[in-house]
Amino acid sequence: MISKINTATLTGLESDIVTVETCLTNQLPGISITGLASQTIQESRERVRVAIAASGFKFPNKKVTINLAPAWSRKEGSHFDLPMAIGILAASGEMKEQQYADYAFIGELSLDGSINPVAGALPLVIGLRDVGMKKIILPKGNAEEASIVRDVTLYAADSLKQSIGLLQGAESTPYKSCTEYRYGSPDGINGLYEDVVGQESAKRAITIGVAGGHGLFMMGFPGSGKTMLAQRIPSIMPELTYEEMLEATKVYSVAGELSNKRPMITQRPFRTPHHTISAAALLGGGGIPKPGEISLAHHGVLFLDEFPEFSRQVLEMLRQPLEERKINIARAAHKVTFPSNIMLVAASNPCKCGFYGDDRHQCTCTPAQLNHYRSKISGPILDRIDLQIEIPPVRYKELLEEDGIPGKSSASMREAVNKARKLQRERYINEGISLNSELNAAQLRKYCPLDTYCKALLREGIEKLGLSARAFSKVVKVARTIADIDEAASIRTQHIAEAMRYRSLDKYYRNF
Amino acid sequence: MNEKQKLGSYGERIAVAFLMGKGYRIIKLNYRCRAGEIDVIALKDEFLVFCEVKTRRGSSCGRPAAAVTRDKLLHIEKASKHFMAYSNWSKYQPRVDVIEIIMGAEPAINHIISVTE
Amino acid sequence: MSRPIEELTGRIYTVTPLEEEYPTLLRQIKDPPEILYYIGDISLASRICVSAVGSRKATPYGKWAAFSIGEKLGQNGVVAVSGMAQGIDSFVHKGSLKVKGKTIAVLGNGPDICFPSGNMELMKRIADEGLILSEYAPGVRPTKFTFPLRNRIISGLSVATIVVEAGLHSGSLITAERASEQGREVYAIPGNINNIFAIGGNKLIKDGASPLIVLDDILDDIGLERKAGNQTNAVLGKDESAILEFIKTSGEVTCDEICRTLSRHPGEVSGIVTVLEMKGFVYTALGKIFVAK
Repeated sequence: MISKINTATLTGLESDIVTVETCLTNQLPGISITGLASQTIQESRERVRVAIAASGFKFPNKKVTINLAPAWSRKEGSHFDLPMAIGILAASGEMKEQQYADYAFIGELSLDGSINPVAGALPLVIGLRDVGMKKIILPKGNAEEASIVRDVTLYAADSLKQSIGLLQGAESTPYKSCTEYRYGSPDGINGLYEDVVGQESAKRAITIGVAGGHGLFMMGFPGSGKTMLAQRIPSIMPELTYEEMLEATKVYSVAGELSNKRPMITQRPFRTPHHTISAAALLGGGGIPKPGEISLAHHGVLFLDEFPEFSRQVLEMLRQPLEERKINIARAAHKVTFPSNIMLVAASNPCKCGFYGDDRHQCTCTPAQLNHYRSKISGPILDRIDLQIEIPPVRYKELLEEDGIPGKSSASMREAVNKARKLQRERYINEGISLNSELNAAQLRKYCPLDTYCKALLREGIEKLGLSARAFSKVVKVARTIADIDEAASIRTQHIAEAMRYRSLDKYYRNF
Repeated sequence: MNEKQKLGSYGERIAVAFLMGKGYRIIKLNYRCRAGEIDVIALKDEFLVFCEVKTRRGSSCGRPAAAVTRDKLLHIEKASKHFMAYSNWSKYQPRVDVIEIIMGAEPAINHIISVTE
Repeated sequence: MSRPIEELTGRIYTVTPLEEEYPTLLRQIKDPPEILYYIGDISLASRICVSAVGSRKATPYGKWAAFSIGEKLGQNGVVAVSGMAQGIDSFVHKGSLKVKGKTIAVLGNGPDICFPSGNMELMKRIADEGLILSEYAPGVRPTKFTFPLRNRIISGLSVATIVVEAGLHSGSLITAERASEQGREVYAIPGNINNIFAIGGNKLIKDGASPLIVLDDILDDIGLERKAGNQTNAVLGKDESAILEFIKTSGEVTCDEICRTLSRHPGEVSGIVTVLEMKGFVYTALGKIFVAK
């Protein structure tokens, strides 16, 4: 007889249903698995055999043929152990069909028969629910993570024996999470802007950046506070919506970064990869494609500190995923896509030793080193970053603290961000975009008309301040965001003037 | 018949005696066909057992069971299919066993059941 | 790196003290070069020359000052002399070229070798529009000995030498010393006392060099009448004036300091600073704003 057990396979973040068909025949004993099963699944044979025996069941003395249907798609993951074990026991008569037909199973088996947690449990459960499975048996270690999925009943299983017991009618309560997970509002875990003394101009630029989704580049001496400023960005980003939270959690699930202690992503992610990171770790990849830092920062911030120290090749590969807001990882036979909708923040010193132009420290770089460092700062990635700010060290710091005048708080910055975001949502409701930074050339002309004074100011800026012609559209987009924060219907000269302030590095490539 | 063959057939006789003692019905000895050959074919309960017998003088040359290589196993499997095709044994569940005999004052017999996983 | 530039090799000429064309002021020093190799207009070396030198690693302020000096000299028909080194020297040349003034670059290597190599474009422009001068034959590479020696030529050509910005051990201090020995005027631009790049210049002032505080003064000293600069005297709005005044009184400020002291919104201040920069009243670099005058 043939048993059919429900489970699913993952491709990127999407899951597709898989039926594990098991048949026992009168041939020399052995297990064969068909259906484009990966190496991990082929290894399951050993685990399943031993786990079945360890659970006190008799492994059938027949040839076991397992097919993972549909046979034309690739199957991947260690979670096929449990459904295959159930399938074998079902086929050898341990259970009747009506006992297991309504369930779906995922889990990796240990050699002693216990069930281990797997990566990607969340998207697997979501996928199974979407095709109509109402009851799912899954590892205890993944239950918390999957508990956020609505409209499905979960059974947390410790071991194969317990799962069979449940199917054969033993008492069992569905899994319910005891914790109320709050997500959305920033919890300020990385700090709040009230902690930052001075740097009001930088805070202003950051507010603009978050409001319009513009990327941000900070240049400053070591110790000027760039990292502090960057870390606090999530505290002013808008609330995480349910869909965003789910998507971000799915990515972490597939990356294997969730646990019962931290089963979901409740805050916008803030990722700071070190500059020695490899392309695969940053963008995603590996033999079995796993999400990279750029996807782990999805719906959050990707902070590249010491930007010029990153390998040029790695930076080059960032271009497409920044543009498309997703990253395609191609393999010989198939393609996997992970999302990458991030806010990009980069920071750099003025030179390798950090002190070029500082009148209190000697710069120890040779002219060749200076040129090399500078050349890394230009390029296609920085071209996509609309805002550039220079962060001077805050002098007279002690004076400021004594003064008692509070710096701008995260709460007030977020208020401005939310106001501006609302205006953008309403304006672009039919355009399929939601932020000023996403405007293409045609949309720019349509939504950002400029009066003669603005145009004149822009022309003068390009001439006198050494702005590049490409900076033109960036300045207009930023001006539009500044106008939104100001709640002005159209762009005025003061918005353009301020927006031009944020192109202060352009002149470095031309003259200095 | 040389020494090796003599030893082989002596071992086979010990194996047969051992199996019969365990309630196996001996169906065929030294089954040969183009695909390969099988030392002993026996029947017990629902199993049709194809048995390879390996004999050694002492275990100094390694365990005899280790001499059953993948290739040998493949031949046994092919031969077993051949046997089952041309006979009426298909309703039985086939199985491949190895019987290991280490000669000595008291021959040591090791019956390894179902080696094909 | 230091390979002769082919297109310049064909334009190299020589001049010796016996010839009339030999730079006038240079004849008067105690050890004038016996032969000079040059590319460009040799007559420039006999016009009124002022040299401006400084360290290779300069602050943004220093670069701005060098550029402005180059411009001022150029606008008033004075030839700007420098060593075409990285940093201050290069900006002096650039400032002069920008206003179509004349400039002379005295090299510490053969006239067909561009050192530093990053100054290729600059060197070609000077060769076309100004004068390249060297004591060394074509093909001779620079060494650490050649630079101090050529510094005497820089000061020797000029009626006055300005040290724009120099650290304690800058080669430009040697140029100042030579100028002094040769009986020429030495000026130095004073710097903040906590600025390590200004120590050399400040020390010179202590030792007797004239502090150069208003750039026009140097023109007075050498007996020239000033010509009006190119600045548009644009009308400043009330807010702009207020902020400009504050910047003037404080020297170097950051946007944040303006916001705090004048209780203004950072967005507003940013916009006004941009406009002031465009109108030429201020100059910004690395987050700091200072007056351009």
